[in-house]
Amino acid sequence: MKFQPKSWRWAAAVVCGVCLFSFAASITRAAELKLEAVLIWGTNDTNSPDPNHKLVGPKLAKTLGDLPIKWKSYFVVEKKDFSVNQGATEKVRLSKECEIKVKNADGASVELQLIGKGKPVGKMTKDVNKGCLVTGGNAENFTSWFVVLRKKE
Amino acid sequence: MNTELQLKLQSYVDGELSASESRQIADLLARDAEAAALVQQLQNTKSAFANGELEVKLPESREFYWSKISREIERENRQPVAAAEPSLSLWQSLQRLLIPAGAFAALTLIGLVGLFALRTTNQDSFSVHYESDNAVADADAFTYNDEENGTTFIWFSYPSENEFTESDDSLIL
Repeated sequence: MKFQPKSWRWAAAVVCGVCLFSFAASITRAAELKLEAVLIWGTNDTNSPDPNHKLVGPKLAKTLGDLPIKWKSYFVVEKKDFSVNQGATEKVRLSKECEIKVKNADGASVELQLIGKGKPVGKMTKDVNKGCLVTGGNAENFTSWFVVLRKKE
Repeated sequence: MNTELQLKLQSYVDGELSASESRQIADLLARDAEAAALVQQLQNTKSAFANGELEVKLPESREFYWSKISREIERENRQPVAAAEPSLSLWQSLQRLLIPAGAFAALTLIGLVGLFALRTTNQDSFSVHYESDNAVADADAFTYNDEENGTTFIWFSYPSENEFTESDDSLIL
């Protein structure tokens, strides 16, 4: 078969186009993070006094069950789905006293700031592509609160 | 009559066979009319070509004729290669430059993205850069990494009870 310079140029142009398109698509995809924040109450009681509380799903139950601090039951108090563009910060209220600020640092890592009763409690960063971030603390009557931040599937 | 025999008869007519093969063919022609007819036809064709070919006479001497050819070849070799190429429009010239440059740029971008991805992958996926703007929390927080699930857990002893929880009797959190 005879080598055709023109066909080579067309092939190179197509390859360039595909590469640039893929690159642009990957950048666009990486720019926005779809996240889920869940406020959870951990207790040794099997039932919650609040009828609106529901037990966490099996995946979240396993995640929480694998933690060093264990409870018999984990109830979902609030669950919020939200998106954060790269470089932007979203404020999400999970309860009257609990609020979080989530910054999309680089399309993969997020910076989570916990705010309790309007006061900052702590700030941490995590690559949510690698797993979820769980924060927790003591609550009334020997129970615990948890805030789970994970990538929305 | 097969092709091999036909070729052999052709060789016979052209005098390319050995003496023994020529004798065999001669015997064959004596008893095979079809082969004899083919040989006759080939001989006629050969003689027609030989007699009909025109003799070409060069108008100059043999040495001068070949020296002209040699000079022409040398003259063509001396001409620059670029002159033989057709002139290109500005767009065609740009295409010639931009297409390889674009391919190079695309490959460079792919390489950079690959390097970036590799660097990201190599980072400790469970590392948490915990920093607190609360001195009390700093002292009373611990971090646990579940490497199997990729979960990072940070436990705050502060707020001790109700920073996140509501103290109303009807609400727990």
